[in-house]
Amino acid sequence: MKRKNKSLIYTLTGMMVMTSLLSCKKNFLDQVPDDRITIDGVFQSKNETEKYLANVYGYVRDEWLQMWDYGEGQPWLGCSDEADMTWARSGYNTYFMNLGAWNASSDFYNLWTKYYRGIRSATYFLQRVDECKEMLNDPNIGAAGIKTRKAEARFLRAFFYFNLIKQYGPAVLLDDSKVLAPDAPLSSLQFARNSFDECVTYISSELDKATADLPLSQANTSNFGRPTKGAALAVKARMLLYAASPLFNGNTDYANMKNADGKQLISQTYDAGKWKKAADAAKAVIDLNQYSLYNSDPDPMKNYQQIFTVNWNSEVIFARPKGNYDGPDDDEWGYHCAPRQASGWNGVGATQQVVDAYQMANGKQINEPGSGYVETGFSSAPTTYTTTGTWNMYVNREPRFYASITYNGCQWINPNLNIKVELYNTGASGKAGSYDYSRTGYLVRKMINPDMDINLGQFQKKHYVLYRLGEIYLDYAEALNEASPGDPDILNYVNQIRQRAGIAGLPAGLSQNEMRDRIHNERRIELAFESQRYFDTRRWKIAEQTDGGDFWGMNVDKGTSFSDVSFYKRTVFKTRVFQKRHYLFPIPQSEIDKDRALVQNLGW
Amino acid sequence: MKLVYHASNQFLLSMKLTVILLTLGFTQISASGFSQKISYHGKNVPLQKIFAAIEHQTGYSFFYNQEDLNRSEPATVNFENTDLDKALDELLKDQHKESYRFSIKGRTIVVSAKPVPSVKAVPQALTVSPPSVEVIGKVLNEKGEPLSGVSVVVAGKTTGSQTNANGYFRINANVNDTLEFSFIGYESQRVAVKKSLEIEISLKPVVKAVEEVVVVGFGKQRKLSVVGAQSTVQAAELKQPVRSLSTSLAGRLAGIIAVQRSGEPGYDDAQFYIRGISTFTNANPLVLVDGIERSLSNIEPEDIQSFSILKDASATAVYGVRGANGVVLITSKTGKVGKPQINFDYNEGVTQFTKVPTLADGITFMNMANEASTTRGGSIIYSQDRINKTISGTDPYLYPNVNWLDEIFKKTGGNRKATLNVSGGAPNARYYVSAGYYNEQGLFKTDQLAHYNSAIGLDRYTFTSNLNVTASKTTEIELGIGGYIINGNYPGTGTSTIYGTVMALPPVTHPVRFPDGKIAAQNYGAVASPYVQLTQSGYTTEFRNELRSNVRVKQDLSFFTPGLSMQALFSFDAYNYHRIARTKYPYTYIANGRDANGQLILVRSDKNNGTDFLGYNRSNGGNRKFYSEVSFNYDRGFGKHRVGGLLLYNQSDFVDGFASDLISAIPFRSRGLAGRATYGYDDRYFVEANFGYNGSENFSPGKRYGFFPSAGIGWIASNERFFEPLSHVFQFFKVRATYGLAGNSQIGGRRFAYTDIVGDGTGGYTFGQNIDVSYGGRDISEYASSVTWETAKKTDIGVEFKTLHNQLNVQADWFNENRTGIFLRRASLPGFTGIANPPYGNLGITNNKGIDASVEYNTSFGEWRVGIRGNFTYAVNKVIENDEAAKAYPWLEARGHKIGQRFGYIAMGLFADSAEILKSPVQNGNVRPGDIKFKDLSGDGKIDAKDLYPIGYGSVPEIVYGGGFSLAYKGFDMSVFFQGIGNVDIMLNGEGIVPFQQGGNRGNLFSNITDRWTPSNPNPNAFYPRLTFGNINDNYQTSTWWLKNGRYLRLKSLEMGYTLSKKWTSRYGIKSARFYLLGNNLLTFSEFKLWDVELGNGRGTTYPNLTTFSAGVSLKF
Repeated sequence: MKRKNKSLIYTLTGMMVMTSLLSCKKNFLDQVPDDRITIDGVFQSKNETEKYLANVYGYVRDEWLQMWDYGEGQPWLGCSDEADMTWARSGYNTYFMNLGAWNASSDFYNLWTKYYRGIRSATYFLQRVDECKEMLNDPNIGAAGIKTRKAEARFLRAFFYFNLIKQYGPAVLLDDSKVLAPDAPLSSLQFARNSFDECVTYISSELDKATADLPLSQANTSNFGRPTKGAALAVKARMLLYAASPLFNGNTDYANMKNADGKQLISQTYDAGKWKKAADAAKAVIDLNQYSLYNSDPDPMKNYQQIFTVNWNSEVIFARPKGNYDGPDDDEWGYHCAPRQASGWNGVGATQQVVDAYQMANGKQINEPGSGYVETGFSSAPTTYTTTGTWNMYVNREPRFYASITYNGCQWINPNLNIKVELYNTGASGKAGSYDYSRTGYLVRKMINPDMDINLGQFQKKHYVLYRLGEIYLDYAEALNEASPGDPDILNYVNQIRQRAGIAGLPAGLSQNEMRDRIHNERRIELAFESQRYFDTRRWKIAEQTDGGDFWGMNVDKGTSFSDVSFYKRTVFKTRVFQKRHYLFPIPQSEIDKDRALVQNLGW
Repeated sequence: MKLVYHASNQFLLSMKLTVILLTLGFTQISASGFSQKISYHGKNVPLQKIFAAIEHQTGYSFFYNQEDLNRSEPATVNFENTDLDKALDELLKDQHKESYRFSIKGRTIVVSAKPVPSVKAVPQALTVSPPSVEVIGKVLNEKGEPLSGVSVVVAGKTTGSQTNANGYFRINANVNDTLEFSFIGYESQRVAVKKSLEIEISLKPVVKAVEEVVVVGFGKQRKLSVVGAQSTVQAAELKQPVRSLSTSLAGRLAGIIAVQRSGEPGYDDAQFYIRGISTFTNANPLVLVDGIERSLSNIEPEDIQSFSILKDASATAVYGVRGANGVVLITSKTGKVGKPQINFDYNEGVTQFTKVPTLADGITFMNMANEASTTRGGSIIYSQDRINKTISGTDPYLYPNVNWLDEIFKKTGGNRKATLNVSGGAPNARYYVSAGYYNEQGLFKTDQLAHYNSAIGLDRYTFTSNLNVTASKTTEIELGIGGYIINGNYPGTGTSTIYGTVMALPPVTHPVRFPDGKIAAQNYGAVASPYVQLTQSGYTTEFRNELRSNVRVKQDLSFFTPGLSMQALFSFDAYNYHRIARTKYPYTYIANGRDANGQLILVRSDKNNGTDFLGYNRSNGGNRKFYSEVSFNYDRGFGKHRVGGLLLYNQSDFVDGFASDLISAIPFRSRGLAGRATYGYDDRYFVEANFGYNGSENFSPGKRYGFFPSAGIGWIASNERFFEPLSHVFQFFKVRATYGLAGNSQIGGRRFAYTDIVGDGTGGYTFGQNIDVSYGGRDISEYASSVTWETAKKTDIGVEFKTLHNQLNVQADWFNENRTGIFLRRASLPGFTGIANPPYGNLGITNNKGIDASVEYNTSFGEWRVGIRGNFTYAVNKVIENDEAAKAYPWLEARGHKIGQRFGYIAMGLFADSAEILKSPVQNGNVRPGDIKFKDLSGDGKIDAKDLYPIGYGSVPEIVYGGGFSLAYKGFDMSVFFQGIGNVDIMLNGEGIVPFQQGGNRGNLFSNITDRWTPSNPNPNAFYPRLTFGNINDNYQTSTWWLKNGRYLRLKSLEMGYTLSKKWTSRYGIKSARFYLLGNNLLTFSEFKLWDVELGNGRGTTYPNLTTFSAGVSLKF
C-alpha cells in the first residue's frame, strides 16, 4: 500500500509538472497580432495612403534599364535599329529576340502582367482613398488634395494602359469601378480584348478626366515628378499619333485578328481624321505655354547633353525622378555605356545605321550633295568636336552626334579622365581582351552626365525624361504634315528643333513626302536612344526594312591602333530577323491558355 | 540457494564516471580513481560487513554464496592501506569453521568455501563416481557483454543457479555432468563439465520475430503485431566515413528515395524522400530523434540504437498534419545494467573526388573557338600565330594554357572520425555517454603564402548522454542531452561561384601568377580568376551548434489497472549559426606584351578595387524549440486477446531568432492529439486503428483542426493450425493491409494564409526637385485565402514471410497514395487581374504509387557466416490537378505527368544538309547542317513552344535500390554494399555545356568538345551539334538531345575487418579489438561520363562527391 501511494505521488507530481509546462493556453494557435498592418489600416493613415500611391508610381518603369530582362528592363533600344546590346546570355534577351529566337512562351519582357498590376493598384486607390479621414482633415491636403491624388492615380492608370497598347496592341480594358476578386473563378474571367480604337478612346477620356483635376504645374517642389495637365496631354498626344499611324490605322494585315464575336481588333479602314486629332492633341500641349525648348548653353552639343542631365529643365513634361536601379548613387546606364577604359561595361553599341543618320554640321544628310561627308581617311586638322587624326567619317558631323555617340578615337565624355577611347580590336576597350565589348565599334553616350566617374563612385542623381517638349514639336509636325500638308507650323516646329541642335533649318517648299522623310529622320536623331525608335519604325510599318537584315558596325575583329584602317571598315555584325508578327509583342502564352477569349496577336 | 549481489557501488561508480566524462570532456577515462588498497579497522565484524566496506572503497563487488558465509566467524582486522589481496588473505585465513578461498576476476571478487575434499586432494585412481567440482563461470551475450539472470542447471538434477549482474555464476556439479544455460530471448546451450573449474559461455540470441519489439509512432510495439509499413536499418550499417547520416540512407531502407547532390564539406546532405514525392510543396519527411522533431544530418551513427521509417497511413496518421510525407524515427542508445562498457572507434581516411570533369586544353579551346566562328561565316578568333606560340609553351605568361580545375583542386583530402562511448549502469540507473569527433579536409588548394587558412574543411564534435533512472518501482526518468558543434572553414568565395568561374574562364586568357608573384586576372568586372577567388579572396569561418535536451518520465499505472502507463516528455532544443567572412579582392595584373628588354608589361587590372586588407561581414542564425507531450499507454493480454491503446497530447513552439519580418518572427506552433487502439487475437489476427487530431496555426480558426484516422489489419497465417503442413516452406507468413489519412500543413513559407499581408509592394517612388522626397511602397502582397492542410489518402498492402528455415526473410509492400488539397498558388488567374501573387488554394491533386521490398538471407556453414541483403524502392507520381488552364495542345499538359515534369523539344538528329533544312519545319535562328532537328508536334510548320513535349523521368529517381552481402569467418569479416538509382535523367545546360555561350573570350569547354559535328566529319551521333558562338539558334534549348540517362550503380561501401583473438586482447584488458578497412563510393557504373553522375543536372559545377578509403580500429573495454 505504501508503495502504491508513493507511485501515486510521483504520478500526480508528474502530471502537475506537465500541465504547467503545456500551459494549455486557449489562444496557443491564435498568434496573428491584431495590430499588424492591414489594407484597411493603410487607408486610415495619411502617410500609408501616400505610400500606397507611391507604390502605384513604382510601376512607372525606369527606361534606362534597356540591357536585361529580369523583370526590370525593356528591349526598346536593343531591339531597335539604333543599338545593339552586346551581352548574349540568358536574361539579356534582346540578343535572342533579334535572331527571331523567341515566341509567346519565352516570356521575354512580359510587361503585360506588370502594367496590369499597376492598373489594379491604381484602381484600388481610386476606390478607397476617399476613406482616408486623416488625409481629408489634413489642412495641407483636404478634399482638394485628395482630388489631385485621384487624378494622379487616374493618369497612371491611363499611362499604364497606353504602355500596354503600344507594346501589345489591343488590350483588355477594365473599368475603374472595381478590382477583380482574387478568388473569382476562372470561368468568370474569360474577358476578350477591346479593339485598339476602343482602347484609345477610353484612355483619352481617362486622360481628359485626369487633365481636369491635375495642376498646371507643381507649385510645391516636393511634388516634382507628379504629373501635371501637360503630362496627361503629352501622353494623349503621343498615343493619338500612334493611333493615326499606319500600323493601327486601317492596317489590313490584321484583317483576321478578330474576337470570337467578330469584333475587328485593329481598324481596317484608314481614317485621315486621326492625324488631325493627333495634331490637335500635340498642339494642346504646346498651347499650355508651360514648357520651352532647353537652350541654356551656347555650345549646342553641351546644350543637347544637358536636356537629360539638368533636372526639371524647361523642356521636361514628365519624368521619372529616380532613374537608376540601385539607388541615387549608381548609374546602371552610365555603367553599361561607358568604355572599359572608364571602368564601364562597354556594351551598349550604336549601329552604323544610326551613325549614318546623323547629319553633317551644315545640316545636310551625309548622302546629300554638298554635305562634305568623307567616308575614309584621317582628318588633318582639328574641328570643334574632333582632333587631328580622327577618322573622316566622324568629322564635321552635327553637334548631336558628338553628344550621343562614342566612336573610336574620341575623347571620353568626362574630360577630367582624359581618355581617348580605344574601340579597335586590341584597344583597351576593344573586342580582344574581354567579353564586354561593343559589337558595333561604337558606344552610346547620350544621357550620361559628363561628370560621371565610375572609379570615384561619382554619379548624379537624375531623372529619366519620359515626355519632353522636343518630342511634342515633332509629334505635332508629323501629324500636321499628314493632316494638312504645307501648314507653315510644320516647318516652324521642325526647324526650332534643328536650330536648337545647332544646324540649319530645313528649306521651305518640300513636298509632303520629302517633309515626311525629313521629319522621320529628325525624330530618329533628336529622340535617339529615348525608347522612341522601336515604336516609330513599327507604327510607320517600316520595321521589316529597318529592323531586319544585316546590321552594320565597324570591324571590331580588326585594328591594332587608332590609325589602323582595317578597323574602319563597314562590317556586318549581325543579321537580324524581323517578321510581320514582330510588329506587336505576343501576349504571353500562359495568358492565352488561361483566358480562352483572349485572341493572340497575328503570327504568334 | 540464495545468491546475494551487492550492486549499490556499481551505480555510484557509474555515476562517477558519467560526471567525470561530462565535466572533464573525456580527458581522463582510466579507472585510476578506484583504489585497490583498503583501510578498515574493526573488532568482531561479520565478514559480510567487511566485504561491503571493501566494495565501497574499491568499487569491486563480492560474489559469494550466502549459506557458505553463514558459517563464517566474525573477524577482527586492522587494515591500513593494505593491498586488497593481502587483506583478503588475512581475512579468510583466520577462519576455522570453514576454509574459504577467493579469486579476483575483473572487478568481481569471488569468495567460496573450499570443497572438501578438494579436487586435487582426491587421487584420481581411487574415484568411483566422478568428482564433484564447483564450476565458476561467466555468461556473455553475442556482443561479449555479460548476461545477468541466465538460468544454469545441471541436466537431470535439481541443482540450479543463476548469473549475477556481471554474468557470473557458480554451481556444484560432477565432472561429465552437463550444464544447461537458458535465458529468454537466447538459444539454450549445453556444456559438459570438464575438469576445468572456470568456463565462459556465449549465448546466441534467438532470431524469433515473436520477441522483437519495434519502434512505432509514439511508442513501441511487438513486431509481430505491427500492421503498418515500416523499415528498419541496422545502426551498424550507417557507420560510414561521412558527416551526414542522410548520405548513407539510399538503398539501405526499402522506401527511401535519396540522392546526394554535393560533396562540399558541411553542405553535403542528401535529399531524401520516403516513397518519393507526392506534393508540389514540401515533400521532406518528418524526422524524429528520440520522439522530437530534429534534423538527422549531424547525428553520430554510433549513438543510434534504432533507425526506422514509417511509410503508410496506419504508421503515420498519429502525426496528423506532420505525417503525410512519412516519418523517420531515430532512437539513441541508452545504457544497460552492467559494468561500464567502453567502446572506442577511430578511423582515418583519404578522400578523392569520385570524378572531376575533364576540360579541353588551351590549344583545343582556341581551335574550337575558331571553328565555332568560321563554321558560321565568322572570322577566326585566335590567330595561328597565337596558337603556335601557345603550343610551343615558350612564353606561358603571354600565351598561357591553364587547366583551372587543376589549379583549384588537390588530388586528395582526408577525413577522420573518432567515437568513444561508455555505457552501463545498475538496475536503478543506466547511462550511455558518448563523444564523437569528425574532421574533414576538403580538396581545394590553398596558397602557402597567405597568412590565414582558406582551406575548405570542418571539424565536428558530437556528444550524447542518456541517463535512465528508476525513481521508484514504477517510475522511470530519462534524461537525454546531446548536441554538436561544427567548425567550418571555407574560401572567401562560395564554392559554386568558384566552380562557375572555372567554367567561364578560358584556359588561354591569363596565367595563374606572373613570375614575380603578381596575381593574374582580367579587368575587374570581367570573369574573375578562380585561383584568386579560391586562394586570394580571404576566408570564411562558420560555426553551427545545436543543443538537444529532453526529459521523459514514464509512470507505470498498473496499480490503477494493469497494463496502463503514462509518459510525459519535455524537450528544449537550441540551434545557433554564425558565419564570418573576411574577404578581399587582391591587386591583379594583366600582361600587355613584353618590352624591348623582354620584360613583361604588367598593367593593374583590379581597377582600384584591390585591397591589401580583409573586409568583414557577418551573418547569424538561430532558433529554439520547445516540445512537450503527455501520453497514456495501455497494453495488456487477456488469454489469447491482447489489447493496446494510446492517447497522446503534444504541442510544439518554434522560434526563429533571426526572423526577417514580423510574421516570421511569430513562433511556429502546433498542437495535437493522437490515439491508437490495437487488438490482437492469439497472435494470428490483428486490428489497429489510429488517429491524429491536429491544429495548425496556419489556418483560420474554423479550419484549424483536422482529424486523420487510419486503420489496418494483419494476419499471421503461419500461426494458423491449417498452415502447419506449409510450415516447412514458410516458417512465418504475414499479410497486412492499411488505409488512412495523413496531412501536410507546411505551406511553403506562406504563414497564416487566412490573413492578407500588406507589404512594401514595388518599393515606392521618389519625388521632388532634388529627387529626395521618398515614399516607401504599400500594397497587398498576399491575399487571404481560406485554405487548410493537404490530405494524403494512403493504402498499403504488405506481405512478410520467412522461408528456407528462417534464413530468408522477405518483406514487400505495394502502396498507393492520393494527395488532395495540395497548396498551390492559383495558376489560373489571368494576368489582367493585376494580382501579383495569386492566392493559395487547396488546389493540387497527385497520385503516387509503387512498391518497396527488402530481402534478407542469413546462413552459416561451419564457421562461415553469410548474410545477403537487398532492397528496392519504386515510386512513380503523377499530377492529377495543378489548377493550370487547359493547354492548347494535349502534350503541353502537365497533368498526367510527373511532378516537376520536364518539357522540351524532341530531337530527331542533326540536319544532314541544307536540303533537309529547307523541307523541314522552320526553326529559330541561324540553322545550318549539323544543327539539331526538332520535331514539329503541332504541325504548324515551325518549331516553337507548341512543340514542347514531356521528356524524361526528371531528376528525382523513380527507382532506388541497394544490396550487398556480408561474410564472416572466425575473426575476419567483410561486407559489400552496392547502391543504385534508375529511371532518372540529367539535363545538360549552362555555360560550358553550351560552348562559347558568350563568345570566344569567355567560357570553358569539356574535353569531349572534339566530339562534334563538322562539315568534313558529319557525324550524326556527335555529342555536340555544329559549333556556335552564343545561342544563335535552338540547339541548346531543353531537348531530348541534352537529356542523358542518370542511372548508376555504385559500390557504395566495402568493409573488411579482423577481430583479434580474445586470447591476445584480454591480456591488455581489451574485450575486443577489431581492425578494419572501409571504402566509400569506390566504383561507379554509369553511362554518364562528364561528371559524377549523382550530382545531376546542369554543367557539373558542384563540389563533387567523394571516394573515401579509410582504415580504423574499434576497441571494446
